[in-house]
Amino acid sequence: MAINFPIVTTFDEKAVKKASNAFTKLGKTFVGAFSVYKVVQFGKESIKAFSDAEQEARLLNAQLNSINLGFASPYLNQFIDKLSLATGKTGGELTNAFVALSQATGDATTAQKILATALDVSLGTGKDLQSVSVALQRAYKGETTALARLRIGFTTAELKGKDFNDVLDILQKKFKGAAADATDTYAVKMARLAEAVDQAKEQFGKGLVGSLDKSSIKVEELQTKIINLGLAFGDTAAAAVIFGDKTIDAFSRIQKSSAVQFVLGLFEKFTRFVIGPIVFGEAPGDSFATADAKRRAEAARKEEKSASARLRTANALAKAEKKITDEKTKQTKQVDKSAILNDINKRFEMDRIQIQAALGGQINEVEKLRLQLMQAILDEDVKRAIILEGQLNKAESAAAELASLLDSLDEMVGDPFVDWPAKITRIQELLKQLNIKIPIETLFAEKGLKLDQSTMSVTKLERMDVNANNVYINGAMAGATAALGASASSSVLDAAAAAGYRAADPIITPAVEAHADALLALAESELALADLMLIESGGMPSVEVNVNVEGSVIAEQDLTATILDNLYNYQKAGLDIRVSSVAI
Amino acid sequence: MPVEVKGVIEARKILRQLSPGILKEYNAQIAAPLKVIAKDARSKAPNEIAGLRNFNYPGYDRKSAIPGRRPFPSYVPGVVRRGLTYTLAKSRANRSGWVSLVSMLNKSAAGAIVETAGRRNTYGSSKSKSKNPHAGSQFIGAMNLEIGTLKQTGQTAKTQGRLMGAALVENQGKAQAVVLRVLDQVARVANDKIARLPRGN
Repeated sequence: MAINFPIVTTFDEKAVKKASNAFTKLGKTFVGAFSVYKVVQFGKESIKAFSDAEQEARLLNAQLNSINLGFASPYLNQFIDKLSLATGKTGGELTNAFVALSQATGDATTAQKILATALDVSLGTGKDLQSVSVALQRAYKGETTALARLRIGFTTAELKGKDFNDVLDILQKKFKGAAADATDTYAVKMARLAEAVDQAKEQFGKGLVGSLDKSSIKVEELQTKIINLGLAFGDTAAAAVIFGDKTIDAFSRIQKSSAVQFVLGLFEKFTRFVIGPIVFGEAPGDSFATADAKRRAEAARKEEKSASARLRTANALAKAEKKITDEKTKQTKQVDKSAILNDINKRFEMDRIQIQAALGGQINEVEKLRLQLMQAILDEDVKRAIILEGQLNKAESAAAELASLLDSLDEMVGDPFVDWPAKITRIQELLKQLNIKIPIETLFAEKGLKLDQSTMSVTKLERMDVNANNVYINGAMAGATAALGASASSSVLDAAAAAGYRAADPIITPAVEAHADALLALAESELALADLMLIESGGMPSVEVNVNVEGSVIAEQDLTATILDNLYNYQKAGLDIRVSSVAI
Repeated sequence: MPVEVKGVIEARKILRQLSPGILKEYNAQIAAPLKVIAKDARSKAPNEIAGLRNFNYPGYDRKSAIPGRRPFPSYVPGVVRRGLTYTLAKSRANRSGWVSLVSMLNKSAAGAIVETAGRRNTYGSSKSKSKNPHAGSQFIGAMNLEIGTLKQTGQTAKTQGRLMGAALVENQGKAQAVVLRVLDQVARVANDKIARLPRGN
C-alpha cells in the first residue's frame, strides 16, 4: 500500500449519498411491506370487529328478548353505540353492563338510567364499568354489599338503611358531570377515537361481509382472500414497475426501429428542406435550429483552442523563464570565477605595478589621490573613481590655495597689517591636509623669508645655508650621488660647503638643496648639449663614448648628469677620455 | 496539512468532457511544483543505509521464511526513488467520505518502511519477535542517522514522513499554494464553460 500525503482534499458526498439512499430504499421497502400487512390486518380486524359487534348485538337481542324487550333491540344498539362514542367505553362493555342492568330492572329505561349513573361512577372513580354496573344491579335487588365494596363513599351500614333510589340519587349528585369531565381528558378522547375506529371497522366489516355474503363467500374464505389481497397489492406494485420499465423499453425499441427512424428521417428532411426555407427563409440544407448551435459550437471550439494555446504559451513561458533563470545562475557563477581570475591578473599589469610602486613612495596627498584615481579607473570602479575625483578636486583646490599663499608671501612681508599668525596657521593646515612633509620654514626660506614660529613673525632671510649631505632626489636620499654631483658641478655650492657654513639654522632642508642641484644640472646639461652640437656642426669627427656603470643607478637623469660632469671635468683638465676612466 | 476544496471533481469532469486540452495544460501546471517535491524526496533516499545490512539490497531477491508470504522488502534505492511520485487522480473515499485530489505518494514497500518507521513506536515495537531486544530501536536509529528524523506535515502521526513527508515540510506549502491557484482557475474555466453551453444541454 502506498503511503499517501494528500495535498488537496474534498468531501465526496457521493459515498454518503449512496449509503443514505440504500437506507432510504430499505426504509421504503419496510414501509411498503408494513402497509400491506396493515391492510391485511385492518381487513382481518374489521371482520373480527364486525363479528364481535354482531355477537354483542345478538347477545343483547337475546337478553332483551328474555325480558320481553326484544323490540327495543335496534334502538338500544344505537344507544350503546352513541354512548360508547361519547364515553370511549367499548361496545362490549356497555352491552354487558346494559344486559346486566336490564336483567335486574326488567325495564330498558331504568336500565339506561342506571347505566348512565354507573358510567359516571366508573369514569369518576376509575372503577371497572362491569363491576360498578354489577354492584348497582345487586343494590337494585337489595344487596348493597358489592356497592359498599366499591369504596365509593358508602359503608354497608349506611347503605342498609337506605332505599336504592336514594342511593342512586346520592350517586348521581356525587358523580354528576364526572363522565363529562372525564371525556374531556386526553386518554378518554383517544379511547373515544379508538371506539370510533372500532365502529368504523365494524361498519367496514359489515359492508364487506354483507357484500361478500351476497356473493356467497364465507368469512373464513374472506380472511384468506384479504391476506391474499395484501400479496396482490405487492405484486401489483411490482408489476406496475415492471410494466413501466417494459413500456419504456418498448418505446425505445420503437424509437430505434428502422421504420420509425425512416419516418423520422423523412420528417426531418421535410422540415429542413421544405418548411424551413418557406417559414424561416433559410438556405436549403441548413436547419433553422442547428445554424445557431453550429455558430456557438464553432465559437466555443475557437475559444477552447485559443485558451489551450494561451495555456501552452504560459507553460512555454514558464519553462523559458526557468531556463533563463538557470542560465543566469550559471553565468553568475562564471562571473564570480572570472572576477577572481581578473583580480589575480590585475596584479601582473604594468600600469598597476607602477601605480602601486608610486603609492608606496613619499608623495603628497594630491599625487596620492591622482594615483588612486588612476587605479580606480583601471579597475573600472566607477563609484570609487567618483569619490576619489571629489577628493582630488578638494586637494587640488587646497594646493592652489597654498601656492597662492606662498606666492603672495613676498608682497606681504613689507605690509605691517598682515595677519601673519592666521596666514601661517592656514599654510600649516594646508600642508597637513595635503600631506606635504616639507617644513613650513623651508617654504618660507625658498621665498627668501625667515619664519619665527615662536613669535609668529616673518622677516627677510639674509643668508641661506645649504647642507649638501641631505639631498633628496625623487623622495629617496642619495647622499653620495648628490654630494658627488654637487661637488662636481657647482662651484658656488662647493665654495659654500668649503666655507664651513654649518647649519646653524635647522630650516635649511634637503629639498632646497635638491632643487638647486637640479636647476644647476639642467643648466650644465644644456650647455654640454650646445657644445656637442657645435662640434657636430664644425665637421668634427664624432666621439663615441661607452660608459660602464658599476653600482646602482637610481635615476637616468642622475646618471646623465654625472657623466656630463665628469666629461666637463676631463675637458677642463685637458685630459683625454679613456676607456678605463672611472667616473664614480 | 491538506486543504479542503469544493467542486474540483465536478470541474475536472466538465473540463474533461468539454475541453480535455485545457485540462491537460492545467494538470501540467499542477504537476510542476509536485515534481519539485518528488525530486527533493528522491534526493533524500541514500544509496544504502549504513548499519542495516539485512535491509540493504544484497544483490539478489531474499526469500520469505514463511512459505507463501512475501519476504521483507530490501532497500533498493532505484525502486524506492521511482516510488516517490505524485498523483492527480481522485482517491477512493475514506470512511468519512474524504477524497484526496492531489497527493504525493511513496509507492514502494521499502520506501514505505523508510518513510514511516518509528511513526507508531519511536523506539520500535515491544511486540517485536526479534531475538535482539533493541532491533527496532537500532533500525529506526540507523534511518534517523542516514536519512533524517520523521517530519510532520499535519496534526496526526499519519502525516509524519522521512522522505516525502520531509520534502513536503521543507516545501513549506509553496506547492500547495500553486495547486490551489490552478484549481481555482480550473473551477472558473469549468463554470465559464457551463455558462456558455447551449440551453437544454
